[in-house]
Amino acid sequence: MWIFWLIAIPLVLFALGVVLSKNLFRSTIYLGATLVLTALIYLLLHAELLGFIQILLYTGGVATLLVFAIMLTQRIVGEDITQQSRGLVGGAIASLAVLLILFFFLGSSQLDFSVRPYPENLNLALGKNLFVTYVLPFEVLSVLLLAAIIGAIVMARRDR
Amino acid sequence: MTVTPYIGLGFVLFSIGLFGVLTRRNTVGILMAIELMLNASNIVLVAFSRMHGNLGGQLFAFFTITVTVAEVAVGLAIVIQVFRLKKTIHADEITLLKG
Repeated sequence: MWIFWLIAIPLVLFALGVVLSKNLFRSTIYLGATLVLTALIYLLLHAELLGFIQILLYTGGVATLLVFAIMLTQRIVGEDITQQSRGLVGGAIASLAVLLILFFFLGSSQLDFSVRPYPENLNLALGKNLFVTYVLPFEVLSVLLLAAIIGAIVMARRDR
Repeated sequence: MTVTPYIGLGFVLFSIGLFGVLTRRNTVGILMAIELMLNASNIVLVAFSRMHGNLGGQLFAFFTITVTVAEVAVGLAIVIQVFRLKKTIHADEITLLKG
């Protein structure tokens, strides 16, 4: 269990850094660290495939995209983008209220939270689920990704 | 072993992300906070998948990650376009749809 806390405490600290840091670029670096640590949490939960997908897609894709966007907007304006926050007290009250409600439900639930074993040969079961049971959502997702790529190119193009 | 700490971690991360969405003025910052919230929901999905010994949760998290990546690509393209138009990415000052 100690290894969970070793990952979870830095994870929460990095997440706080993402929402509190004044420097947008630093926020992105913290977000990258948060996503890598989340991948480690997935490894602890025996979701190895998901952990590696997380590192490939999120850390490789999303963090790089965010850095690109920050660099581009900085270059156009020609000055560093700092970011301010507003309504810190109201935001803190609202998010703490949501947190309390969530923990209240967790505490009052009658569920048995102990772990039940995964099927033998996890990867085989995952593949069967993905390509037999859920093959339609999988294919729809590939179309969605294509639409997103085309949409992003059309949106970000300079001359139209 | 129970999954309760994992679910609690997901709740804490979700609240931090919500705080970011509510308080950030910068559009890219808001997008990052939304990433945090989606990430938190993925942790909870995987934890419940482990709790039930059912792979559905893991697969749903897999789909969520893919949709998120698409969302970020389009969102950042919109941010860059709005930035060219208005020379600002502060969410308060983007009032293109205000009548």
